[in-house]
Amino acid sequence: MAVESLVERIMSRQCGAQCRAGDYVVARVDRVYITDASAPSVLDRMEQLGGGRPAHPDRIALVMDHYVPAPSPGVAEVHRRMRDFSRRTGCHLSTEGGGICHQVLGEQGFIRPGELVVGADSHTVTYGAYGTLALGVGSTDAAVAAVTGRLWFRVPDSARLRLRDALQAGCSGRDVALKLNGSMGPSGADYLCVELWTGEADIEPDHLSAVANASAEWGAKAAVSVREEDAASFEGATYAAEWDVDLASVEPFIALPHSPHRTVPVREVRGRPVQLCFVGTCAGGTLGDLRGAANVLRDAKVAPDTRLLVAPASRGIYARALREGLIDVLHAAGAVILPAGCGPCCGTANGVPAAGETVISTACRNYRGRMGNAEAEIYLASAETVAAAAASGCIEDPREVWYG
Amino acid sequence: MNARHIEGRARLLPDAVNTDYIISSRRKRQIPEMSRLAGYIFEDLPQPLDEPVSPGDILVAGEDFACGSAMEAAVDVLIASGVRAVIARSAARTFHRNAINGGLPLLIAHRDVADEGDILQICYAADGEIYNATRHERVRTVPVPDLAVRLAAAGGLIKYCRREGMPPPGLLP
Ligand code: SF4
Repeated sequence: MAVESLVERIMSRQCGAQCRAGDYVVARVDRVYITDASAPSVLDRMEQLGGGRPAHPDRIALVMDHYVPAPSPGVAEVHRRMRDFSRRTGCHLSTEGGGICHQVLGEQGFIRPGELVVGADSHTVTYGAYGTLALGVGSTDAAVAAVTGRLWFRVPDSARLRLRDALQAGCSGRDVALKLNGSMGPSGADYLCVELWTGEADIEPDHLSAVANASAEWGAKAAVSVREEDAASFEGATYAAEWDVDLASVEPFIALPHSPHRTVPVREVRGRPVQLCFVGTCAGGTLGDLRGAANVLRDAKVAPDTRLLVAPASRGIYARALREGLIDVLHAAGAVILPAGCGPCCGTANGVPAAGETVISTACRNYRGRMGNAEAEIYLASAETVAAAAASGCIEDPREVWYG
Repeated sequence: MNARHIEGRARLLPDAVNTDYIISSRRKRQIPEMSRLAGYIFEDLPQPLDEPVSPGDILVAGEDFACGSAMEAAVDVLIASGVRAVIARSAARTFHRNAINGGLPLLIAHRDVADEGDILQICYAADGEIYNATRHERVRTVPVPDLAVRLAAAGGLIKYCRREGMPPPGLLP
């Protein structure tokens, strides 16, 4: 019999029966999380399903991250509804300033390796870096999973992404992600569970998390890191696709406006002036990213006519960045430090660019209008590249100036 | 069994219409009511539509329709605009799930099934079919999962679960 893939193994356990790729199944879901952006529609649907107290409130988390602190009375009302719901039912609540759902719930011990998790947000896949089968879903899925503890799935085929060697100084997981965005396109891993193999690589968890995060941009259902001790048990498994990335050959990459898939090496667009720089989000707001930005900005200043916003992805990252002196460095360089959360990523909080401005950001998407102004042009890059742009006022290859 | 017949006017869309182009996150935050939010669909499309989407339309999109966010508002707002079905060359899995759960018929077929304004008659069933009444042409679509047809007939997963309870195992092929 064919060797079981990682996703088949997890799904079979959750169904209590052997599952194979292509099967439609109903599986037990370990954890469900929703954000302030999805809460109104998920909570409405939970009420339609019978309301009341969900069967396992300790397996449900509500996170305030997209709209923090509340920028309007309407959002304040959404936040109040989330607090009330959590108080009434006992569901886990992460309040404003706690951080982005895809980061903070791991730190709070809510998300664990090996579990099946659904989150009402596409970048839920980020938790795959820690070995969790974490799937992004819509409000109906989240509501059904929260109320019944189960959900229907189609078991996906698997693909293997093998990483080798180590990143060069000045390069990060974000560069790997952007490079892959370009080669994969929006459907290069369509409907696949991408297994992340790192046995032959030396890569920090924060960098791997950036790669898992980007799998949402390739159409993947999930990206899950294979633990070294399990690797041998997948010997002989078949994959619908296989990709190899030599980390040492990855150079700084950048996505051109208005698509995360239009990526080129940063050196090709050096010198382009920028006005707004942003370090943060579930793609680029980890401690590793803040270290990368602070390395570039140590003893430097944000260039005139340029501004830099920094939003740590979580309160835990914020605290460690304070202890390491990173926040001091960034603040002294002229950065505006925002609360932990999504920040200006999708245009629903502060930090909206002006019409005609050029933005460079560590976020995962740059579709037209993404940051709240359809007349702005958004480039995507690593924290190092964004910091280099902040210091020089134009797009710059961080290796040339800071690591050369 | 459970086939649903849908008639409407074809409205052509380009490739890679992401969810932010269907409805922007900023509008979604500002306007909670779907009926009002529907007034802003496709507003950030780089090439604006010649004519707004209106009730009875069938969207005919290219590759990677609704890539990007998993927000269910992308489906809800199309339903609120009166969109009867979506035909796409390919669609993001998150949108596909949301469409199935919301009972919005989504068919995978080539965009050249229709020109702008053609009248289409869809048979939404396991062996889905699109009849272009303007051209008098019949096209088969990629098979529709039985689950999707049944959930559409029930008015979506929430209504199905309320009536039949979860899971719908009989539903799973
Ligand atoms: S940081 Fe951006 S991409 Fe990540 S969850 Fe928040 S809004 Fe979505």
